[in-house]
Amino acid sequence: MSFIDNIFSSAFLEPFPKEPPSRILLLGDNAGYFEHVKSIVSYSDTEIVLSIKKEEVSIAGENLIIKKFCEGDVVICGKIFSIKKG
Amino acid sequence: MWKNLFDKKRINSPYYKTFTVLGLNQDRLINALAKNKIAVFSVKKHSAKKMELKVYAKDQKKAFAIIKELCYNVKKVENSGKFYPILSFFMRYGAVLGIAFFCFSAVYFNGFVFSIDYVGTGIKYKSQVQGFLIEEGINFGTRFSSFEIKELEDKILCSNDNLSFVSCEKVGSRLKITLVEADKKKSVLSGNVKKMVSDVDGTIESIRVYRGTANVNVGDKVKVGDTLVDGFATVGENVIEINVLASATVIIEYKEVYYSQNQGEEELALISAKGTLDSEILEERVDCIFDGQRYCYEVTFTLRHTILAG
Repeated sequence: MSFIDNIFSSAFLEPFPKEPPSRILLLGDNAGYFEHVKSIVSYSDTEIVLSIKKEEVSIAGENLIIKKFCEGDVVICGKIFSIKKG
Repeated sequence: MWKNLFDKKRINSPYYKTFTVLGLNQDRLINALAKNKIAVFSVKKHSAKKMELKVYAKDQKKAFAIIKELCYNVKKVENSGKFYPILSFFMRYGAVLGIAFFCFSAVYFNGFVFSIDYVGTGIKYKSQVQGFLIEEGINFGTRFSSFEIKELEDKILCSNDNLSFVSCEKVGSRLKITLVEADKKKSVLSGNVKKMVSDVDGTIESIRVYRGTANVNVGDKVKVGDTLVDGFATVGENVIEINVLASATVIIEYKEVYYSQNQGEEELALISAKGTLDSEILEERVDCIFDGQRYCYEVTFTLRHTILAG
């Protein structure tokens, strides 16, 4: 069983869905990695709103920089205070 | 999608183009670039209208076209990346090839004799030494490695009794030979001389024959060893042998090179060169050349050399 399947199993979810869910990885509060990003809705150094699949994710913080945006993957650096969905 | 984060080829790609873009609604630009599969890095918003972003160097043309198509203004384009200096060097392959060819030529052709310079008081025997070198197979285009410099010094010295010291030196692709004339004892007129021979290379300025027959005229060029006056006279139909009594003056050009690390030492070079002369000086000139490492003062004299025989 893969690492992801283990997580799903512990969370009492169905085995890994056909379409993999999007993932968000936080590296402390200095960087974040976001998958399946369709587009950037808005961008400033205090708030970045990403469109991930059919939802919007808002990242609030300070000195936010889009470090990398490539093939749906986004890396954001800076002081991240919060991540909100919707 | 994890592969994009850990794709080492892309992460370690060392050459970026940085664009400073002016315009509103910059998010639209980032999305347009991403839609066209152009990876965007280090997006920084300086103000509502000014943004900076980086793309891979290989995507720069495409990125530039998209930016222009969306009517943004590009203020500045810069190069960046760890290996940018090395990569840009290799992108200019014409210049790289030219530099490589120059270095190779400098090293390769440095091993050949492209000129032979003669300096010193024994320079008047240059033609004799030249002849000797040709016999030894040393000429323009000879490899320095085909002969021993120390051995050559000894050979030249042994081949010419008029020299007391010979020194050879490789200076780049030049063979510099220093010749020092041996001290000659001044002899009185013996009345026993069969012919007058030139001991210098030069041009005859004047010739006076008291006894004998002149072989040269004023203005003739002569070399060391040439017979200027022969010991015979024609009386009627008879040719009789006589002792020569004659004098000649020959105009010769003499050069000496003086090296120094300092500039402005023309006077010193002149004094140093004059000290070795025993002929009358008609003209003198000093030329200064800097060869990249030191100053070479070339002192050129026009001398009047007197030959007596009798």
